[in-house]
Amino acid sequence: MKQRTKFRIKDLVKRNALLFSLILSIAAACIIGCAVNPSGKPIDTLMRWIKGDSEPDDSDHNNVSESEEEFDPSFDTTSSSDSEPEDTSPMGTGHGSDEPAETDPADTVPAVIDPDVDARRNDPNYYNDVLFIGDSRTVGLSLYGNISGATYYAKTSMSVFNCFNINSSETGPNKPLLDYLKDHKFGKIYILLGINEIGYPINNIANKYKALITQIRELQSDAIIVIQSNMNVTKTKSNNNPDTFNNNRINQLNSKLEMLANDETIYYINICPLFNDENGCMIDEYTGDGVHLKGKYYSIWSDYLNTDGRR
Amino acid sequence: MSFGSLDFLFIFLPVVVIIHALVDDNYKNIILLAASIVFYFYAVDGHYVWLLYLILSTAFNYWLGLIIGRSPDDVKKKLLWIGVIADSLLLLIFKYGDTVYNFFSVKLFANQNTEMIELLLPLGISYYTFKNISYLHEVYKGDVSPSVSVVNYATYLVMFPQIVSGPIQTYKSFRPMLRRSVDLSMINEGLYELIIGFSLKQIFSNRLAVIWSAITRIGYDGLSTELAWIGVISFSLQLYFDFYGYSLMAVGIGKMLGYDIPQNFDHPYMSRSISEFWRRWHMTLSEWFKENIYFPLGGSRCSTVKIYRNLFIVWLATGIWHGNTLNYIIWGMFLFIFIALERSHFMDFIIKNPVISHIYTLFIIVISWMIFKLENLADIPVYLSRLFPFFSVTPDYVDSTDWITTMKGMWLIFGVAILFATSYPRRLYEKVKDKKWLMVPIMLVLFWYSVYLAACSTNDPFMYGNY
Repeated sequence: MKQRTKFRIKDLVKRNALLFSLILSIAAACIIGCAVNPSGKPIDTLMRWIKGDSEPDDSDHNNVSESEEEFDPSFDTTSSSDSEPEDTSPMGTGHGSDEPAETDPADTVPAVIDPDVDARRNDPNYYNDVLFIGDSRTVGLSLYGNISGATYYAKTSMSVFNCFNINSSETGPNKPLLDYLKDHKFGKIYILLGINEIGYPINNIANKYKALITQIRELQSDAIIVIQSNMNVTKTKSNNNPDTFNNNRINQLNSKLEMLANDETIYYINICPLFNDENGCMIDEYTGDGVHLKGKYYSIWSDYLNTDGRR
Repeated sequence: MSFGSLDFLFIFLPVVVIIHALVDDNYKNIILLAASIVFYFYAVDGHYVWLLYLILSTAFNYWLGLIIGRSPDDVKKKLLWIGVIADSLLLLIFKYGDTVYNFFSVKLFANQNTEMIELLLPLGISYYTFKNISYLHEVYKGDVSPSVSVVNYATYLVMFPQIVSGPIQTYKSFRPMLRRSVDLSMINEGLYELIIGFSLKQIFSNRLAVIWSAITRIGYDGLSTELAWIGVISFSLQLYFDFYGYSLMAVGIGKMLGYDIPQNFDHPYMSRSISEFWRRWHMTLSEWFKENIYFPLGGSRCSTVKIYRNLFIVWLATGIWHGNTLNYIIWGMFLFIFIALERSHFMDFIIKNPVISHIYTLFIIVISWMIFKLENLADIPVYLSRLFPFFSVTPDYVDSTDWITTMKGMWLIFGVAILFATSYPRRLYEKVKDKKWLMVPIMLVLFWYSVYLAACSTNDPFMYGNY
């Protein structure tokens, strides 16, 4: 009888092999997932763990803190305590408030304050020693902008949280960003990051931005840094994404980034007015997805960079 | 919650399948109904009033079905019309109510300050409305007796394998399965279709979606001709695998619950005419239009003029059903033109050729999906100008290498997707599926790879922050 039962069970398992093997594999996955992180959902945890091991250059925000940090926009000119990219410790007494500055959504196009602006504007070689660092918007600039001579280190999904984990750009340089900065010298470094991480606490993003700039300054001590404001999104996009791609959040982040500028070695340029309507939202016609410029409108950005965007 | 979510695959579905299999056959429908309501509750993502519409619609049509069944013949037709109009009105209000309101308040009364309204379409309303109408029609014709049990009728209408995107199963085909048993082999069989459907969606549809996203980003007028063509072909594949994948999952889940859910696709891209394509694409929808609009209007058993009139009405209704912007109506009419031409035998010289017929069908269908996708009418001539650049000047801001950039790393998936759009992989599968030593490992790999892809796209809360 026992043998007959054994045979029946064996036959049952064989006839339903997919079902039983799937059950076993799910059980195994749950055990591994629980071992990796007992408090998370086991399958989610396991998949995230596999993803983390095999795709280190993918957007990985798993270590981002969900709680808002303090933000101090000042850079300590003597210490290099931000040499590790992950460090976000506040520095010194700081200046400026942690409260988001009021940003007038109907800003006019920024006036250039430097007396040598004409020389820079007419310099045909200005961009020969410029590095653009950024996400997909900068990828678009490299493809559709009219800027000759510049170098682009840009990759879709780049953020201030993963920029040092990316192995290669989409726009030419095929090594990690820090290695690339060690091997090449630039006179000006333009940065546009912020849209991929906009859902995280604003201060946390700003702190990471500051850490990025600190790291760049250590490797490129002679370069000036130009922080570009994050472009606004369309009204529809903003209304449909109250916790992420929302113009209030974008404006808050831009306010923090502006505080990082010292107008000597670090500049901030506000490119939002180039693309916005009277309500401070990106003009619908300029974008196909509410966030990115369409190919033909990148010339507005590059024309500005070729003139008033030079520092 | 959706079919592709991990909570559905690892929590909801196993729990429902196990409980449903273990309970007595008399209570299986109650379990399925309860599970379907729970599914709908989670799937509506906070729009709980949609559950109310579903309940009211179910109650109304159940009650009306009983009345029609008991009424004399002269009253039946009037009651049927009441039901059809009421059901259709509910659907049309949600589909077009905001458009009509905005038109009258802003355009007609020149009230520029009025806030435009936007009505969201309740989940599944297009499908359960059609199931309701089909049911009333079947009761009217005497094809089925009205459902006495509200549980049975509600189960038919809201069952979770079908509520979101069909198939639009008739009550007549559903009724014999109201009393059913479920055993391990049915669950095992259902798993094959479930995994294949899930894999098609994750591996092909979701990955190919990246191409159309890139195209939207660039702007249609900024596309190179190469990318414009890659875009429409890729969208044609993306749409197919998304819908086909979902439909296969529905079939698989149905099997696991003891149901025979009808197939919705029969390798439509292998068709040799537009008419054939639409007999093989979304088959339950075509069947619904045939049974509930085309045949009642006279079908093909009337004068030639009326036949074309009937076809026109069916394709106009098809366009209206699919969406609430004008491009859908143009899409329906575009298909009607070719179906009418084929019916008139004007296209016989093309259709009878084994090679040209395939090229013709694929060409017209791909163009039709372009019209289907572009909800802003002004985008259609723009996109056409990129597909056929010899009729216009290529803008100087077009990046002629955009297709290389966009397709980087995508060629393999694109090519394999084209292969899987043919019937050859399925034919091969049918030949080897009994070889468990081969199929079980393949299914497990497909399943876990698809789970990985699904998890990767949902783990990062800003997956759309792939900017």
